[in-house]
Amino acid sequence: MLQKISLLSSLLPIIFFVIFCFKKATRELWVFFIVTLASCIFDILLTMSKWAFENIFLLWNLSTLVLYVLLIYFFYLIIKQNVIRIIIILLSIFYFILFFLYDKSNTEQFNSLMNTIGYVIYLILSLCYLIIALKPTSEPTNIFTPIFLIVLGLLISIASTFFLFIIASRLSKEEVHQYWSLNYYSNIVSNIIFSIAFFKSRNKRKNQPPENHLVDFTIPNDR
Amino acid sequence: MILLQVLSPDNNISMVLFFGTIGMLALTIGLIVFISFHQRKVIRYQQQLQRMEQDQQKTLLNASIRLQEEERQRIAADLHDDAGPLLATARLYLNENFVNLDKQTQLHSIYNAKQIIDDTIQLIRNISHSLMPPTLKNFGLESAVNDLFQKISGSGSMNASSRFHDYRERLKAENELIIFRIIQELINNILKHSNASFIHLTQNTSGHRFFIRLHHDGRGLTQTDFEKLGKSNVGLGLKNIQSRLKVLQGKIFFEKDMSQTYYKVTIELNREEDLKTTTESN
Repeated sequence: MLQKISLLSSLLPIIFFVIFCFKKATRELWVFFIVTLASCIFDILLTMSKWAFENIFLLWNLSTLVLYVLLIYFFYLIIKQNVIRIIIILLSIFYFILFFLYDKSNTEQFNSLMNTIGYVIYLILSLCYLIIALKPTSEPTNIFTPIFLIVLGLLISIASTFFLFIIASRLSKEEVHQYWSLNYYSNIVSNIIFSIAFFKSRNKRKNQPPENHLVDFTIPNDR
Repeated sequence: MILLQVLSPDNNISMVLFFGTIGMLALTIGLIVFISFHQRKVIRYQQQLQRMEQDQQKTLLNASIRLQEEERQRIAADLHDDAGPLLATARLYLNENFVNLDKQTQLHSIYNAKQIIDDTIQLIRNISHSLMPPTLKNFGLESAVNDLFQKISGSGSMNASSRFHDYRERLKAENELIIFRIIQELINNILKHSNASFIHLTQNTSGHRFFIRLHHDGRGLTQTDFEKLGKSNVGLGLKNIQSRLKVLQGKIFFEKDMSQTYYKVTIELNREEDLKTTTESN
């Protein structure tokens, strides 16, 4: 039941994106939309396909890699500082080398190492983004932007599954399924936050004042 | 379910998972709460700053309007009280009966009327000079300031001297006038309030920065006093200085000399701004 709710919740951000910001989304939002789409496809495969269920660890490893690539690109886009962007590239090179040299043959159990490294990288980048967003500016700005909400959703998702992913490699297939409810709860909460972010993105665009091309402010009578 | 497993003492994995996840979630929620409070605080602070800046702008604008009105009233009073009666007197000498008078009286009346008209011309010239000193217009800030200081020294009440160290290139005429008005206002304050026995003005440049420094040995202001007066309803002259400096994008510093004997006022301007405006006007 919980698994089905989690699966349905992963459709929510996709629907919100398509309805509210499909035409006006920025590149960052598009990348994150692909993240939610990929995540949803993996969830559907794991629930519906018999082959996927039999090769669950292989699919998890594949999803770890795909989601890492997409999420790291998302962070690359939202963090504009060159130093941090270089760090992102270096960390990714390190991650890929480790993935292909050390862990690519690991299809018999959950890939805790790569998931944990990935989560630590996301945590660091999320904190970097928050620190940059909190920097004082001359104009009062609302930091609760769609991107900020997405980062918060990611943080909640990471926080609630971090320990589960660390110890998952020590658990049997049955034990993993036993504790996996945590992942479902985390999915539901973060998907709701991502949906709010996509909805907020539509509001943000709507609030922008329209440009008035009809009034010529150079006419003396208008001054 | 996890909670039930945690309660059984043998299950270490469940304990790690439970407390680890709770800890991580607590940290994340704490972070979110901190960010929201911090954000609210920052926005409140920035709004307060903006309000203060708006109030300051309003005060400066009011001061400048009041000063303009006072200046107009002064000119109106000068014209009405001095030029008006003088011209009316001249008209009396040249009234309708003028042609009926004998030649001697006619000549006398013409002479008197001429004298009065000359006085009126001089009066109008003085008013015009007070609006725009001709020395400043024709010979620049250095000559105008030297002229002003000579007049002060000439009165015998105070020793005033000025020295321009690096003024080969004149500033834009409007900017020279603004600086001259600021100097006039400062000197006026020194004469009125400080009880000083000497004033010394020096001009210098450093890179693109243009400095004017005034020293005097009387009672003076410090930067704190200046800022306090700038925010209060009194100190119209100081507000006027502030608004003039805003036009020039300049700064003013009031401080006591290291020796604690002299007060100094430093006006700092960016010559690049002056050059920029000159190029734009060209």
